[in-house]
This record gives sequence, structure tokens and C-alpha cells, in this order.
Amino acid sequence: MVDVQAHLPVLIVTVPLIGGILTIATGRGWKPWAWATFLTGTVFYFTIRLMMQVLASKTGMVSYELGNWPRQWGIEYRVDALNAFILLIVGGVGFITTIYAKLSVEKEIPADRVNFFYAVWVLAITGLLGITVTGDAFNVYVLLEISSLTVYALIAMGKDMHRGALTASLRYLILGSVGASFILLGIGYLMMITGTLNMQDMHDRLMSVPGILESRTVLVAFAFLLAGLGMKMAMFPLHMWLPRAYTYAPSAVSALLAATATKVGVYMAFRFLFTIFGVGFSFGMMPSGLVLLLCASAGILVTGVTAIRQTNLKRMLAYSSVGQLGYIVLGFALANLHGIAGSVAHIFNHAVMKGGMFMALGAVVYRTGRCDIRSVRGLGKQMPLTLAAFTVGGLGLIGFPLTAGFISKWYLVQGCLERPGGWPLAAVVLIGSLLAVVYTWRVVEAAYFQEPDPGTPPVEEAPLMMLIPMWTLIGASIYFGINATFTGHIALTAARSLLGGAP
Amino acid sequence: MTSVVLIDTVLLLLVTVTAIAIIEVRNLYTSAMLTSVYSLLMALVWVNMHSMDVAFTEAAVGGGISTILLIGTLVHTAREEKPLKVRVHWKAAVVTALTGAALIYGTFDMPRFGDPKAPIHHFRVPEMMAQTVGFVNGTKGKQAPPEGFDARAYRSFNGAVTSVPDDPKDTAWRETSVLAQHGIIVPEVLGSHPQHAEAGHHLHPPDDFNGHVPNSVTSLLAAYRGYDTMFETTVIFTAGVSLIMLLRRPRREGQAQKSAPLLDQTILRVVSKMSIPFILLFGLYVITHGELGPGGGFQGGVVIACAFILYALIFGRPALYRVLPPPVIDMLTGLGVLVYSGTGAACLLLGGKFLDYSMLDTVSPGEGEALGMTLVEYGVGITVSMVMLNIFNQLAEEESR
Amino acid sequence: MTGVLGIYNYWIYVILMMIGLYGVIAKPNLIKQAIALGLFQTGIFLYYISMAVIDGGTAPVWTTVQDGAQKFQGPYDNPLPHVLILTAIVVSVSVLAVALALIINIKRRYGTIEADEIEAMDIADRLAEFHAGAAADAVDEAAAEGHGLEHAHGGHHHG
Repeated sequence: MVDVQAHLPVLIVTVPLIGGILTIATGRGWKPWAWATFLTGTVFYFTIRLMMQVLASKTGMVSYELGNWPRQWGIEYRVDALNAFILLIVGGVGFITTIYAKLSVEKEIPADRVNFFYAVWVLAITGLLGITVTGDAFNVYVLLEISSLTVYALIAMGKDMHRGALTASLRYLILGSVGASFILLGIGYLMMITGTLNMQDMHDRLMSVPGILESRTVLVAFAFLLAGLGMKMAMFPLHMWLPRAYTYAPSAVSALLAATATKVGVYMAFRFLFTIFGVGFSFGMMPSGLVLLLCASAGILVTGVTAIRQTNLKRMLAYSSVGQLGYIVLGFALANLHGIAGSVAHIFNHAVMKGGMFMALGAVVYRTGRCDIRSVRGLGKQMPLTLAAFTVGGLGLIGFPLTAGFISKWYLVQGCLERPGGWPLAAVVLIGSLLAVVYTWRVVEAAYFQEPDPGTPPVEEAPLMMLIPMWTLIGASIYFGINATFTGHIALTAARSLLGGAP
Repeated sequence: MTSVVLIDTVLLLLVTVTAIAIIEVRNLYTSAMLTSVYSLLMALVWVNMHSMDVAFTEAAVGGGISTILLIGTLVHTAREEKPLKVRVHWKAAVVTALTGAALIYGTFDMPRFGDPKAPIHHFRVPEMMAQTVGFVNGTKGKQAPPEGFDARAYRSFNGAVTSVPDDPKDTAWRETSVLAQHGIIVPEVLGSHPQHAEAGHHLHPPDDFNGHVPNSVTSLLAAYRGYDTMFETTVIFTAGVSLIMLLRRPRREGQAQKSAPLLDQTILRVVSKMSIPFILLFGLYVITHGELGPGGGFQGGVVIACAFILYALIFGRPALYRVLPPPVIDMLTGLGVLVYSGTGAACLLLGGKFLDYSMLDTVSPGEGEALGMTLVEYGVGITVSMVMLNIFNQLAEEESR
Repeated sequence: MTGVLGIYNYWIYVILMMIGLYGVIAKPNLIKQAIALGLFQTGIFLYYISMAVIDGGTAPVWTTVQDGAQKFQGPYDNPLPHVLILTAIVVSVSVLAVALALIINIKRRYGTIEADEIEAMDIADRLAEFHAGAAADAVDEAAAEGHGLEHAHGGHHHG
């Protein structure tokens, strides 16, 4: 039949697209979930194979021309170590979160629209995968809108738990659309100046046409792309939409978003800054390195302090996510090998840790119906595995040795010190870790050293359907903390190719 | 000063005034109607800039669907906006002014309006417009280049135009510099290419679609960038499903359906009954005709949706549901995207790449391309019309509760 | 046609976008915000379509000549931005539809569509949550203190 290997890049996107649409025909009950699990599982399998293909290929890159049109005219899928890695993260976390979603969706989403929910869910993952796999600037925008629209709808589905979900969703919709419009505008400016939409082609034109990089149009395109991407990935001063969205979204959606959505935003920033503009322009000619470093440092410190003050644990994790995103931005803004490698590694590590922590909180919500700091009091004895998962995840956020977080922070600190005069940045990384100690400790203290509120009924441990996905992610964060060969290798390969300009 | 610029200047002034009025007027119905006016003015602007497809879409979407959506929402939210405490929101004004200044700063190094030397007019796009992209590849599935065609020189062509004349009216430069230079549109080449020497095709260039698709907008939309359009259709589908998820309430049995309020209006009933078939026919025509002239799946889909909406307005939604029950509409919503992606998948199963329509016809690849484009246009049409109808139904149901 | 007129369209698009952006930020009415967002996006459309124009150009549809065969007769306006904007228009109407669905839901749950009033209710919601927690904490503390007092009292007794 069809040679799957030859079509992997396109199958990764079209299989969940077609399957996602068919989800609405699966009826009620467990069937939409089973179908969605099957689809995301297939996608995960494809991403693994694609990763192997990329690693095995001599050029370190797999290209697929859609419709067989030459890449300069048609749309090209272009996969190198970096996006194969991001695809693997989105595919893997997407699959595991889908398994996890079953019980929490049964509880939080009205039964008569579960099929629509999973259709939108699978399409959201499709959009994220599509952004990651493409090598065409405008295709990024279209897929970005798919992932955004689906995410607005998914967040709003928390409306039956809390009406704040609606305003959170609308606020994200407006900010997100403004951000996406800025990206569209930036792409337009670039297209006008270069005459093409293919990322590689754009890069070649920007490098080869004399005087083009000094053009004020390119400069403004750069600024607006950066602003738009900043909004989409919730970079510190532009993160206003994120805390509410994560707080009020259904538990499974929070886990999916925290692990994948902002990561794909960061990936887009990688592509635009490094692949299209090139490291020489983005961090040499433009002061963006300095701006990003300032934003990232401020983000790490401010959100760390804010997270400590939250009583709602989902909100606390949301602020922590903005802070952790600061590390990722800090890493690539250093624009040196270890900084970028740390950034890429942290994308993966944060995805598994935060995904697992949100799942643990979802399990708490599933059992107690609440997720404030009081609701976890004494839960360490009643839900030992869930709270242990949360604690191990928290250790990862701190960057404790033998967790994955340690590896990425190690690279980051190395990157900071490689930069001349970069030690204050290293200090920021360390202070951020201390702040993470404080906010994780609050939960640990409540869970293990306080008695449950009198009058609250005792609860059971979370069901296995939640524990297994949760511990898969948390287990991954431990495994890749001990054995960092794979992630380290990929991160360094990706960093080298990004610094080389072209993938 | 050309006529384009003159008309443009006047129209855009009107557009700007309308935009300010939309923002400033306090009655939301007025604001919604003004957006309709705004869209129609915009459609004129697009026509003036020769963008017929966009004008058609703008008129159908901005003037039609958006206004229906807005009015449908206003019915059950609010009529007027609350009076503002401050006349000018200074924070917004400052942010806006700064952003605008930055954008204007970026315009200074842009090629001037209509400049034929702008990169976008001579790099990459001319080949798409001449529909000769397939030659570059020469791989299985796309047509082989004609004899005497120097594919190597063509591939290494860097897009630089050797001599652009200063007189903008002299447009021969493009044919000579980009296309003829590489042996694409020169009649001698045509003659030596047997596939295109057949009757009826002897004059058109040896193109990607055997001359079936004179509208370059459609060829870009459905073929070269067909993959984007597939996701554009998915965006619409997503919006439809999101609306169902957010607005639809469980259907209660035995719920009294409001009878159609306009049914006793004889003139309305007769006229609409007579015009609905023609509207449907027109919609189908627009979808099918997309390859030849302005139009296509999206515009045609909106027109078809309008026919059904008119039917529902006059004869009541129960009557519409007898023709198209809600579950059928839901399924059709997805069917369009499935037709599109299924066409792509069929190409893949036939041994080509995803969306390589030339696989659909083994004898003549160009015919296959044209067939594939027709299929996907119908896919777009189905999804767009059914989503629009679904959105209308959701809003109308909201009203009748 | 030189100088300012050459980039006139590009300025109008900025003005349209900024009218929209001002509306999005300044207007508390959610429907107004959604409409303003639409204006903001049409500004970008205008930019793209303006970029497609070429002097003396015509619509990018090949003209038919007498033999019934088509001929490539330039110059044509650039079809690529047209195609991109067709997609973007579709996206913008989809976003509008979802936004309006959310607004209807907000009206159901909050009873208003004015952002400042909604914001006040959201803050009230959070304060209520917070106060519930704080009140419970206070009760706990009081209970703990009471408990401690009892102990101390008991100890005293023993002593």
C-alpha cells in the first residue's frame, strides 16, 4: 500500500485532521474518547518514526512538498531535529493527556457534547502539530488560527464549573487575535520585501539581496513578529491572558495547554528568529537579545513571587508556567550553544513536569471538586500517589538533581556564564529556583504536614486511569533527568543547526 | 495619477469615516449596520484594486454573514452600549499612536504602491501566474518540460529581472525577462510540445492545468497553496463545532416551535419560493465557475447558505429542519472538509504526494489537476454553507427560547 | 505619482488598523470590541491587497481571445495576496462567530456585556473564594488556639 515512511510529515497532520472530523460521528459515551485516543496514539507513533528518520538522514532534515509543487512555489513541510523533537513532545503529551482526559471530561463536560469536545480537542492537537511541521510562513498563520480557535472553545468549556472560563476565553480570544494579526502583518511585510513565503527562501533572500536587512520594513516586520509571538507564547509582560485561561479551563485542557500550546509558540519564535531572520540579524543587528533577556528575567522573578501568593493551585501553576517560559526565552535569547540547548531541553522538561502536575491537580479536582490550597490539606495520606507526583514535578521545577529540570537548568546556567557579564542572569536562574522551592513547599506542607479540614469527607486515591498517565509524564521527567543522553543530544543538535542559520 | 489611485483615495476616505462612526456610535444596531456598509465599501475598494474574489467574499461575508451574526447576537444581549465616563481613553490612544507610528515607519522603505519592480511582482509569483510551476519539478506526476526547455537554467533562475523599463505602461518586460527568457510562453516551444498541440489547446501556454484554470487566484488557492485552503475550511468547521458546543442546549421533546411569523405574507412567500431555486443554482454556478472567473467554494457556499436562511426566515425553522434535520447539517459540516482532505488522500493512495491532483488522471495530468480543484471547491462549498446555516440556526434557536 | 501618494494606501491601512485597535482597548462593550477587532483585521487585508496592485494591471484572470484559447496578457495584479486574504477573511469571520458565541454565554451568566462590570464581578468571585478560605483559616486558627489554650489550661491544672 502506501509507503508510510515517505509520507510521514503529512500524515502526522492529516490523520488527526480527518480523524478529528470523524469524531463528531462517533456518538456518545466512551466512543469519542476511544477514537481520540486511537488517533493521538497513531500520531505519537508517527512522530517517533519521523524522529528516527530525521536522526538517520544524512542531511539531518526531511522535506515534503505538498501537492508535489516545488517548495518555492507550493507549501513545504520541513522537519529537522528541532521540530521533530517538538512534534514528539506534542504527539506524546497529546496522547497521554487524551488518555487522562476520559474521567475528568466525563465529570466536567456535558455528556451530550462529548463528541464535539473530542473533535475540537483532536483538531487543537492537529493545529499545534501543523504549526510545528511546516516550512511555510503563511501556513504557520493558518494553523495558528486553527489551534487558537480550538483552544478558545476548549477553555470556554470550563464554563459549567466556573463562569470565569467564559471571560478568560474571550480575553484570550481578543489578545490572541491581536497577536495573530501582528504575526500576519509581519509575514506580509516580509513577503512584500522578499517576494516569497517559504521560510528557507525568505532566509536566502534576506541574506542575499544587498541592503535588505537595513530596510525599515524588515525592521518593523521583525518587531511585530516578536510582539505577536510574545503574546502567543505568553512571554512575561504579554502573558495577561494565560493565568485565567489555565485556571478556569477544564482540568484536562489545562494539562494539554500547559504542556504543548505555549511550547509551540516558543517553537515559532525559534523559526522566525533563527531560521528566517538568522541569528546574526536577530541577535546581532537587533537589540532583541537584550530586550528578551530583560523580559525573561523580570518574568522569572515577578511570576515566581506572584505564584507564591496564590491560593488557587491551578492559578499558582499558571503563574509558574509563565516563569518557566521565562527560562526558555532566557535560554534562546542568550544565542549561544548551551543557552539554546538548555532552552530546547527545557521545552521538553517543562512539558512533562507541568503536564504531570496539572494532571495531579486535575485528580484532586476530580476527587474533592476543588483545587485551592486548603483542599489539599492532609491529602498526602489520602491520595499518596497523586500528591507524590505533584511533589516530584515540583522538584523538577526547582531543578533538583536527578530530575529533568536539573539538566536544562545546568545548560542554562552554563549558557549564562558563557556570555560575557552573564552572571547576573545565572543568579536570576538560581533565584527563580528558590522561588519555586517556596511555592512547591506550600503545597507539600499542606499535603503532608497538615490535617485535613474537619468536616471534609475523606477521599480515595485517584483512579488508575488518571494515575497512569500522570506517572508516565512524571516518570519521564525522572528518567530523562537520570539519563539525559537523548534529550541532551537532540537539544545540542537543534542548537547547532539554529546557530548555523539554516535547519 | 492613475484612475485606480483616484477612486482609491475617495473610497478609502469614506471607509475611514465609516470606521470611526462604527467605533463611536453608541447604538449597537447602528454599529452593526454600519459594519455592513463598511464591508460593502471595502468590497468596492477590492474591486477597484482588481481583486474580484476578495470583493465577492467581502460582500458575502462582511455585508451578509457577519451582519446576520451581529444582529443575531444583539437580539439577546444589548441594544446600546453603556455611556462612557471618559470621552477619550488616553491609554488606548497612546498605545494606538505608538503602534501606528511604528507601522508607518515601516512603510517608508516599501516599494511604492503599484511598483512593477516590487519583489513580489517578479520573484516566484510570475511562474504561478503563468501556471508553469510544474515544469520546474519535472518529477513523476507533473508534466515533463517541453522539448528544448532548459530546465537547469530555469531552476537556477534567481528571480532577478534584468531590465525593468521606467515607463510603467510598458509591460512587455515581464514576458521577456521572466518567462520567455526561459522558453515558457514562446510559441515555438508550444508547437514542439505535442500534448499541447491538440485542438483547442494550441494557443495556450504549456501550463500546469491544460488551460482549464484561467483564474490565477483559484489556481493558487486550490492547487499551489491548496493545503492552506484545506485548513481554511477546517477553521470554518472548527468555528461551527465550537458554536454547537457553546450554544446548543439539549433539545427538549414536545417543545412548542414558534410558527413562522412571515408565512402569511403572500408576496414574501411567493417571491422567495420562486427565487430560492435560482439562488441555489447561482451558488452552484459560483462554486463551479471559480476556475474561470471570480468565485469559488467559499463564495458559492455563502450564497447557498443564504438560500436556506431565506427559507428558514419565511417558512420557519421547523420547515427547514424537515428538509435538513440538524444532525444532517452537523454531518454535512464535516463532509466538506472530508471531501477536501479525501481528495488529497486519494492522490496519496494513487502514488503521488498529498494533494497532487495530477494523479487523478493517468492520461493527462493537467486534466487531473482541474478535476481535483473542482472536487476541493465543492468540499469548501459544502462545509462553508452548512457551517453558516448551523451558526444561523444556533443564534435563531437562542432567540426562540 | 511619487512620494507620499506612492504609499498612501499603506497609511490608510495603518489608520484603519489603529481605529480598530483603539476600539479594542478603549471600549468596554464586548460586542464593540469584537467589531473593532474585525476593523483591525480589515486594515491588514487592505495592506495585503494594496501590495498586490501593479501599475496598469488588471484582475489576474486570463483574457480569452477569439480562437477560444486563453492567452497570458499582462500585466496582472498579483494573485498571491488575494489568496492569502481570502483565507484571512474566512479566519476573521470564524473568530467573530466564536467571539459572539462567547459573548452570548457571558450575557447568560453575568447578565451584562460591559467589560468593566464583568471584571468587577470576576474580582468579587475571587474575593468571595479568598474570603471563604481566609474565614475558614481564621476559624481554624481560633480552633487551634482554643485547643492550645485548653492544653495550657489542662497543663496548668496538673501543675
